[in-house]
Amino acid sequence: MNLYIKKENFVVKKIMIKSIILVLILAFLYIFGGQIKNSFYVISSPISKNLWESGKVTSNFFESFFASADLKNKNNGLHQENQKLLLEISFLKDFLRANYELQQALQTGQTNNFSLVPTQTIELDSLNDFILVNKGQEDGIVENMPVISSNGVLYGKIYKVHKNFSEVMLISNKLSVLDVKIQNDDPSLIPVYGAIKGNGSLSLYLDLVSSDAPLKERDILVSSALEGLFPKNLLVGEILSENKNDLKPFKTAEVRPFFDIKNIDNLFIITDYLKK
Amino acid sequence: MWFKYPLIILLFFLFALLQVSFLPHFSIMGVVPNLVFILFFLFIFFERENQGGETFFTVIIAGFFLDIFSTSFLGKSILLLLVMYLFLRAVTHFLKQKQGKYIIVYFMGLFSLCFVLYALSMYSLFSISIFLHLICNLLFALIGFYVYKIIYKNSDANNQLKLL
Repeated sequence: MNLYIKKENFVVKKIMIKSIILVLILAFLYIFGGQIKNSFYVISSPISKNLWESGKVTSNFFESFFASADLKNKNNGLHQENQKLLLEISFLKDFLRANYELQQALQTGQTNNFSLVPTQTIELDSLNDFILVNKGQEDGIVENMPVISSNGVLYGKIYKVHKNFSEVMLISNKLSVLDVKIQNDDPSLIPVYGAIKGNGSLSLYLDLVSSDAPLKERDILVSSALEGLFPKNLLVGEILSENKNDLKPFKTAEVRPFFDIKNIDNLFIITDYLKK
Repeated sequence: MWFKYPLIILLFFLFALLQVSFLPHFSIMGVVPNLVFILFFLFIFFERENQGGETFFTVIIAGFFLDIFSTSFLGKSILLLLVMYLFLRAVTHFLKQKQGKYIIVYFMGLFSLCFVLYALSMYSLFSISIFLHLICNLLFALIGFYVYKIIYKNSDANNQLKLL
């Protein structure tokens, strides 16, 4: 009997100790969450960056491998040689691409009078459609700043800022809503407006389009700046197909987003749009 | 067996980095397997007797790595995983008594339940894409199941949990 009581006391003590440890850990993480995240990103970013680049190179390699499967027998020797060369110059190419994109983006920035901060993607949270970029408070980044690519494709907005890093909510995030204008071929037509909503898993859909508005496949969607977060005429996506439902007061459509997380090297944060 | 603890941290760290930095380039329909969650589930599902301290540590580490690469506050996943652990502990105890004839079915069912609950708590909204994530993660979890089963059988032949 005594042995049973002793054992029971021991178990209760063990549970209590574990509970106290857990509460202390949670309190510590809650209080110092921001600093811990930033320090962790600083430590892990060199590895993350290398893994991101390796993933891109490997993925490109497999894509090209599958695409040229029918020519592989004929060009086997050339391919091997090519791949070796590709690996050797991949880093040089990255630098060239980064330079070209920066030039393009600066031109876009000049024409739109926006100041841009170049940044790079380090991580993707696919469950929540968030990316982590390597610019933060120290670079003058604040929440809600728009994030675009060099050719004016809208990616999302800054959601949370850390000291050296920022979390970007992609427009495909389920909580993201963005006002868009549908670009028609005929300029005499009245412009059609709608809302792009995130569908998760890097997908989008068009909603809140007037039921009598004409929608065509491959119509281009651009930001309309009505919500006040994003500048006008940033590329968002193109209509794939219209979802017909007579019961709904508004039209909806499937949209192919223009953003491409897998193949993007540099992104740009518009730092002065919110002030205007 | 002190080295087990740094090994657990290293394993989760590597899996987390692979998940967020390498695998996104191979995503299908925007879905990337949640390696940290899969590893956590395997640890819990195959937990042995008298491994309480080690499992408690695993829950905290897994929760930490899930939170560090998400937008939620640090500690949210730790609490979620702890609740799942307590639930799974009760269920797997029941499975052991049943001698685990259909262990793979239980594994798939419990994994699906836990994953959907986790995804819902992180998403806040229900969506069809959760099922896409579930299918992808279940596939990886099954691969993990058979890999772990081999390790588990080799390391402890006398374990009461009989597997297929």
